[in-house]
Amino acid sequence: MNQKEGRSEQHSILPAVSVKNLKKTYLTHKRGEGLLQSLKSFVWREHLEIHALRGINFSIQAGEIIGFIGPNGAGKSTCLKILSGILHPTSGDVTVLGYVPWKSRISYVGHIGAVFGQKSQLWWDLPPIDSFRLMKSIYSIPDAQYEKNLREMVRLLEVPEVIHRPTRSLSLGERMKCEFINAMLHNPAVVFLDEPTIGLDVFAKETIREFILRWNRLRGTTFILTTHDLQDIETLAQRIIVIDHGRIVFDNSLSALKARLGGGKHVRIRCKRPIITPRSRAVTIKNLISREEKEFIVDTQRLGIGEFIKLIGRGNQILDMSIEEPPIQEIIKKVYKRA
Amino acid sequence: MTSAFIVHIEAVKRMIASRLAFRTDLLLSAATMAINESLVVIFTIIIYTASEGFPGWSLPAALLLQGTFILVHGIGGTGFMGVIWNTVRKVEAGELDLVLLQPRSTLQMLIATGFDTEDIGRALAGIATVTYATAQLGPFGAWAWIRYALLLLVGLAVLLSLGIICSGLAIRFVKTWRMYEVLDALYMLGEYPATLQQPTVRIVLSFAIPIITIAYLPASVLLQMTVPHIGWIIAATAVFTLLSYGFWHSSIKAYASAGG
Ligand SMILES: Nc1ncnc2c1ncn2[C@@H]1O[C@H](COP(=O)(O)OP(=O)(O)O)[C@@H](O)[C@H]1O
Ligand SMILES: [Mg+2]
Repeated sequence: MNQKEGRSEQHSILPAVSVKNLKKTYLTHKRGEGLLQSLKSFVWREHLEIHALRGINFSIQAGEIIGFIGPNGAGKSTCLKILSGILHPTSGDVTVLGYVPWKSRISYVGHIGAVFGQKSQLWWDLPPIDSFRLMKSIYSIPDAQYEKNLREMVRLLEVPEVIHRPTRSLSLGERMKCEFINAMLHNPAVVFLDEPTIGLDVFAKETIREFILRWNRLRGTTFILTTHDLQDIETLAQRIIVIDHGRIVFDNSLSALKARLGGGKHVRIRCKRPIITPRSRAVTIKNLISREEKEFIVDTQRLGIGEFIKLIGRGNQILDMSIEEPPIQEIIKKVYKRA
Repeated sequence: MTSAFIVHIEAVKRMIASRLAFRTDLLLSAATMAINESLVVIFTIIIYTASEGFPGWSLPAALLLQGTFILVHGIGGTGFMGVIWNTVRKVEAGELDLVLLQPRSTLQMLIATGFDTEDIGRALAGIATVTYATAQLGPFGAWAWIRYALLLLVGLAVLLSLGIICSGLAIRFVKTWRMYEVLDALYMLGEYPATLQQPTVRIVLSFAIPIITIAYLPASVLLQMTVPHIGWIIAATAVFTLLSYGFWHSSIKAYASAGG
């Protein structure tokens, strides 16, 4: 179909996703425990407003991979549900691929895909291939496109036999790979991933990350993912949006985040004799492994790494040294703390 | 339109295949259902022959009425009444979201994936009973059969509307009012006064009104009783079906704006 060409044309003009002052307030009510309380709350309910999104703004260009991070309950899933047309927002403007997601749902959702790490779109008692074929008719995917996509994804995700075994007998990793295939056979231009790597082992995670990168590069597919796995962020996200209590507290690249928080380098040094710590306010001891081995944090904005090496080389006889970027957890922790 | 039909068939095929994964389960449950319904019919026969019968009804006439009801119930149960449990299950598990992601009518997908092989046994029992009764009552002309079939469709439409309404209620209550927790609590009470749990009581309660349309109207055509205003009945059923769809639609809207 020429649908794909039409779409990529559109891409070059508009951002793939544009979100303006998006708010979502859930209306729920307090509920008590037990029969009496349930009956009471059935008749008379105390309303409770939960401000899941408090007016957020961002836009995403076609072909970007965006990582949404933030603590539990920050509003990430709510945001993805609105973007994918499942939920109506309380207020605000959203367009994705030129559509307002919650209006004209049926024509819109044909252009997007979604994988939820906690939910399965596959038929439990049947092999994934049966679910794929149903997707083929649900999305009216032409034969050639279906065969080509299936072949390619099965190869990249390394699941040639797996797709013929009943879903219920698959490991979590195998199943997630099949969830990806299921969600992407129809060439979605934008794919939403809500904690797609949750609970997976490192091998499955790596294969899936590799797959996302490949598909993004080859097809120009836009990916928007939420995750608590910072390795996902490091390998995938060209840009991260940190969301906390329904507000965006950061929106830029990971390196910008590191620079902003002045993330010092971690330097680990082993010496022949007990280490004499250089006197500088830019140097702090992170870890005392032994008297002969220490880990320092060097604030590189105040003291260049070359300067530091000179400084420490003066009084010590260095046997071994390693210099590392600060672990991403530490940076994220700082962001969350500031928010 | 044709593609919607194909999707429906494809989904139903997978429901059957899912059940076939447990072959004996499929056969057993369908057979149990058929035997169950046959027992009801046999029971009617026993009561009828052991007593004065039902005033104004011959045995075959009573069987025709019963068979017609079982038939409608069986067809509806197989084809679309599964929408109720399917909706409840999906809403509870948060999987309604996944249905909303598909570029298809959400109600249709819920009906298609609610296909229930178990009730095939019921439909077969219905066919057998109707065949037996009409063999005694007949022969009937083509026109009588056509009108019977037409009113059977009306009965099915009424049943479908009920299913759609219940599906809408499930979407509303489970999600926003949490009626389920109240019901659960009540069920716990219900376990002690066992009568509340009796299937007959529940069937009577849930099917008291529609049973008249479902079985009485088609059967009465064959029993040469006059059915007044068939046209009006069809029109009223159509309105009822439309209203039920309207209700369902407003429920899914409420779901989308209340949040999953
Ligand atoms: N259906 C709902 N009804 C009421 N509150 C909800 C609902 N869904 C989410 N919330 C609340 O909205 C907030 C944001 O939730 P969510 O978007 O799921 O966060 P995240 O995905 O970042 O963990 C939380 O406080 C959560 O409890
Ligand atoms: Mg979430």
